[in-house]
Amino acid sequence: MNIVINGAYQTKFGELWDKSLHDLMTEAIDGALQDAGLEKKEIEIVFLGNKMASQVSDQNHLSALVNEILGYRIPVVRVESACASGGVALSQACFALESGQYNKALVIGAEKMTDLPIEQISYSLMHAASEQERQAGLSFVGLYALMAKNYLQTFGASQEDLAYPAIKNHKHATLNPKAQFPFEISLEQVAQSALVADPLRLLHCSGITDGAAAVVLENLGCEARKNNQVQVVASVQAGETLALSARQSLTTIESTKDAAQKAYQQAGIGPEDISLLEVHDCFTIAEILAVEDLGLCHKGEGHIAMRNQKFTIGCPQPVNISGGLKACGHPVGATGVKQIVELCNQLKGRAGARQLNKPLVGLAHNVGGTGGTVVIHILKI
Amino acid sequence: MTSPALYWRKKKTAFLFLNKTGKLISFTKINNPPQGFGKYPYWVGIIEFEDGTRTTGQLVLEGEKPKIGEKVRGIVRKIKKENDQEVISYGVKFKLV
Repeated sequence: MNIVINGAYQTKFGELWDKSLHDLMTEAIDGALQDAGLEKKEIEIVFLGNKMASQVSDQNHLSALVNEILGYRIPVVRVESACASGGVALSQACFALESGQYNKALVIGAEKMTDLPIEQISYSLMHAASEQERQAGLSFVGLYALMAKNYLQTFGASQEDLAYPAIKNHKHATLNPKAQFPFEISLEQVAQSALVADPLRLLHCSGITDGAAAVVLENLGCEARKNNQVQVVASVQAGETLALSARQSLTTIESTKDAAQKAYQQAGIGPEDISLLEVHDCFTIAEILAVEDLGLCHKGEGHIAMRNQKFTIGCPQPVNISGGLKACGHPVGATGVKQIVELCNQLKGRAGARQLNKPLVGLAHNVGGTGGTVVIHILKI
Repeated sequence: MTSPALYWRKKKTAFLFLNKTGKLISFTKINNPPQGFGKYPYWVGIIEFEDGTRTTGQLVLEGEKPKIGEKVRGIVRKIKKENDQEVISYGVKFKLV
């Protein structure tokens, strides 16, 4: 695989009342192309990740909408894999480039969420769960609460342990001008926030976000990579059952383990070689499970590592420097692409106030639903 | 409105766990119901039966506090009724034994 990322752009994440899905997509496409120094006409194929445009904006057939934004005609593929839509769009683009049929591809993730009242968006998100889970009235926070409750009991962790990923990610977000919640939160504030689904409180959860992100990929073929070009060295998707109840364990996401194992193999590295990670922290328990399943620490010890601030900026392997889904925001279909934009900016040394000291390898971990889909990408400079 | 065909299909699986006893693997209380689930909080759990099968369902509690590992049994309860014209949907919820 000799695929490089030539352009990367993220819109501001937040409650963007003056921006439509169309506006967000346009900004992300223009931004990524400008960063790559390419004209629209040089792109040969587009992959778009979006989860819920049909429910929020009454808009399906987004592929043709992208053609309208581009102003000329090329194939556009829309993919839907719940919150992993962006990551899957990227992995599909890698396949298309590797096939040799295309040389330059654009990947965009976009989501407009804040146009619906909270009960409605909560119900729309439940479309990513199983029929049985929907009938039981399990909201997404409810599903992750079931995992959290089981984790606390199995590994003797306390509710307080669930707070640390959120505190860390909010701290990171203060350094990110694109973040939705760029302010710090305290242990006490988390403990006093409203209980949404026991044991998860409001400040354990990512918010409802509008936003988009895009990257431009090129297959260099036999050409040598230029300095400062970010290379995709692993692109792996893995799967798991739709329903939590169809799995044997609530404290391991097997699809993350499967994808990680294959991704490390593809890249020829181990977890110890990663300089920074963007992991899927839709709820804080998800980040705890992620660092364990990605092999950064042993099963059942993720909460201890978080409590000891092992993944905070300044440590050897910082996790979610962007602020993660929790504090940078989680426009569901855009998240997987935004993680790649963040890694690119860090690897190219242009991440501003949160820039790490010459990171070499970045890993992005994007989860759909409760792990039914997992996509892992590893990038190298 | 629920289509008659959908209602008919659901009947095949709606009562599979009626009167069956299992144990709670995990549970939570949904304090912010999504659209269509009313205004009041409710409890949901994952239940494992003796043969290892698991299911997800609402818990019917009368002030008790559930614990992981506790025994529950499937009982008939109203699941949903959208409006006065709608057929009432019955199904299985679980109560502590």
